[in-house]
Amino acid sequence: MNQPDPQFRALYDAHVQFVWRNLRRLGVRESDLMDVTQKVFLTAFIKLPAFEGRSALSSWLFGICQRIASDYRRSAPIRREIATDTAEFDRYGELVGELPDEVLHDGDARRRASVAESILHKLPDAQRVVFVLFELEELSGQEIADMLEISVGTVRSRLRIARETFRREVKRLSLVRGAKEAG
Amino acid sequence: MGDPTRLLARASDADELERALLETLHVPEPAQAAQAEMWRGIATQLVAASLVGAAPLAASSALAATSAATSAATSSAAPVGATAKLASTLAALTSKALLTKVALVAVAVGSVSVGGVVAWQQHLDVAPRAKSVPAASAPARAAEVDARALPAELPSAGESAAASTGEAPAPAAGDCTGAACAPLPASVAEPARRARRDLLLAESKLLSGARAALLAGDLRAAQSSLSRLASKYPRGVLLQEREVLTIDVLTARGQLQAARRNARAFVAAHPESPHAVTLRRSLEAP
Repeated sequence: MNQPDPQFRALYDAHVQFVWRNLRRLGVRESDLMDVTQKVFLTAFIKLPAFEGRSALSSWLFGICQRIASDYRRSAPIRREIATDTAEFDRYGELVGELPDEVLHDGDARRRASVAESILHKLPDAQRVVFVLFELEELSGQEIADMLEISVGTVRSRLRIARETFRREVKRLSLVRGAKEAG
Repeated sequence: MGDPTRLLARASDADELERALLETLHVPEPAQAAQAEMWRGIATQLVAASLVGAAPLAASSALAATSAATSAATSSAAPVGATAKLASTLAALTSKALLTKVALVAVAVGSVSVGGVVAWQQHLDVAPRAKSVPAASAPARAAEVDARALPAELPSAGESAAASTGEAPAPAAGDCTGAACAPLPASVAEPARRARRDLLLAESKLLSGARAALLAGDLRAAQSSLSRLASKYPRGVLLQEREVLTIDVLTARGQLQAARRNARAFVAAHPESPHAVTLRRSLEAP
């Protein structure tokens, strides 16, 4: 690591999109993504000498993303912002009443994404991570198990519970819509 | 038993709404410009880290030095003060990265950091690794002699050197007052310079450790490094950096009242510090 720049630059280029995507899914707000992404790579740089190569570099980076995203969510100024999110989330029913049609047919992708994110954030961290890695990053159960250093059985059970929650929440959306149409 | 079918797979039993919502969770990739900007921020902060010894970093070609900076660096005691100031600025960037939008500022300050690294390396008699450079503001910065004292813990090598140049012997640890604490003159003997360099390196190493721990989310380790710094180098060259980092750690621990109290004390004690600007802003924030 005496000449880190070319190598580290290569590492950055190869993984910046992965880090970016996963930080977003781990609850980092869009407006903070650049800062937090930088932080992940700075941490990676500091810790690189300790990387033993037992796991893939992306798994190792994912671990750093998880820790930093978790600090991010705990840090005070951010906590206030997340509380605002939660408040929106608590007003969810109100929001939902006018949503499903848009969710399905309207081009209001931003609105739709915020609903999807709200649902995602209803999941406990451990389940959300598995859900995201499986459904969106399309990793296999085994890859996720290796990455998180848990058993494949645990991955599958977390995934199952996460899916149940996800589908239940989506169903709630549909029901609200149905009730509204019927009324 | 294999993995279940992914919800977004054609073969899954997910309904239209489930698919539609999941699809929105595909995060758009950062734009090329954003990727480049983030890299610039990272490179700048890596230089800052090398400035305080956090990483064995060789300055890259993009972060090379000017002859202007080099000549500024040769002026006696200036580099220490200048370097400390630069370190302040950069430390603020590193530790506040999460709370403030620093990417662009970091790039702007990056040019300053170049001069700082060179000044630092010159001062420490480390062969400069950088070769050429854009650091217009570096000479001005380097010329600002910081009156802040050397750490009280200057070891005995310093004492003998000071004695040989006709100065009063360096005081005992923790007893640093007046002229005894003034920066050593340029004529000071080699052993003293080396001693000062070693002290500074040791202090900055502890500080980098604290910062790395904070970055890694290990708040307890960060706190303990900071406590050690405070007891070992009560009036160290990197005193301001230590105080700012302490405020960051308090904030990260959610001890906001204490953080604000410390920030106010810092601004009052060091109104001219580059950190004070950032701190004042965060104090004014609702």
